[in-house]
Amino acid sequence: MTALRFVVLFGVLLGAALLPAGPRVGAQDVTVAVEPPTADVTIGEEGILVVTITNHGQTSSGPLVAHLVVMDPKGGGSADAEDWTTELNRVVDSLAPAASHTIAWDTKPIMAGDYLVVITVAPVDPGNGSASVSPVVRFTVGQPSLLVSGATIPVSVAVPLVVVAGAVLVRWREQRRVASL
Amino acid sequence: MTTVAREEFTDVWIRGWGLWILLGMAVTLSSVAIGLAYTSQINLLDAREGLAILVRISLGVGLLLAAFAAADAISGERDRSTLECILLTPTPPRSLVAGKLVVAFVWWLAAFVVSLPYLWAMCVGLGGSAALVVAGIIGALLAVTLTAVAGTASILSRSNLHAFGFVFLITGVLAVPGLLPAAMMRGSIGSAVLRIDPVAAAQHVINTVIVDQQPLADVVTWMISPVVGAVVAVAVVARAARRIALEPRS
Repeated sequence: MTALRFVVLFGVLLGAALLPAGPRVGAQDVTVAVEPPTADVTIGEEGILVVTITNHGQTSSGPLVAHLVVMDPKGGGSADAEDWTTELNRVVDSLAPAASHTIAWDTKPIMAGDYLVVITVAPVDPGNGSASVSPVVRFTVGQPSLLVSGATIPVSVAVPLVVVAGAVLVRWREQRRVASL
Repeated sequence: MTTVAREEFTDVWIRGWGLWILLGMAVTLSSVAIGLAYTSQINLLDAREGLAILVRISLGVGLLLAAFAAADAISGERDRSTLECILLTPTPPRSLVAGKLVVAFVWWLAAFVVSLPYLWAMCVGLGGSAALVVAGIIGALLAVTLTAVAGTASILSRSNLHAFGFVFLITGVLAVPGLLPAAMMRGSIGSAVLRIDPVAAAQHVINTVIVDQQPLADVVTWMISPVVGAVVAVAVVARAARRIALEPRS
């Protein structure tokens, strides 16, 4: 009887030892929301993507890493996300169940065109589930209205010349007036 | 006042260096305008931001010229030992100060007229006539304020050095809040300082109307401090000009 008890106890302990230390939620239980859904900006215009990462699992998420992905749907142009933002990756501390974390992601497009932007969130620890992806943000990047006025050069040359002419004329008239006294 | 103003005007703009200093300002504005226009492809400076920069530079130069001309009005005569002769004339002190300050105000007016072609050239394609209106209104109010403040300092100062130092200090103090990062001025105290300071309020109006393209009516409350500042400054200088001391104590 004692031996049987010992075997049962040993089996329980062995089973407990073989179980994972604590079941953790996979990143598939993590959702990523992003606002705004579309962005109409010009080159160099700073914009903010508000990214909300929420853990819908029953346990903590473990540390996560969020990554900005920029895609050119036409495939031809350069769409290097490193040029769009100062921080390409953001590390997020472990989220408790039902907890959220919000990131204000600064973006500054450098080329005109239409782009698709998504945020991927992946677990840092191994064996902790797959990555989650945000909805697509559609960026339309236009050229800014640059200061190229055809009148700039003529005005920049003409105004000093007019002032010089005025100054010379005034001085000449004053000298004539003084001479005539 | 008219006689004093006429004499001062002739001294500055016909016999003096007024037009040549204005030429220096024109050359500066030309350099800035060309620089802004032909580097915007590189630095991605938006047209409206470039226009706001030019408005600020033209206002700043004109206002400084007006303020320093006003600071020289009475203390300059003291330094040159000509104040006694002027005080012996039958001109009332207030007329003397008013005539000199009107001509100091003309410095801003002349600088504004010179800057108008540049602002027009930058406005092409932007429909930016609001920029010209804002620059005119704001510039006139600030010019009245700074001219009156500098005139008061000139009346009460023993020398030009004191008057110029005070004008330099007060201009810096008024300009600093508008130049601080927006994040620092976001609180209730920062916002109040921006509204109370006429120069900072003027910068806010320029940004809102020219860069953000908001109608002038939206920022009309921000014009309160420039208007009040101008009225108070004129009242103070009018009071200080009742009597001009040959050698003030301070």
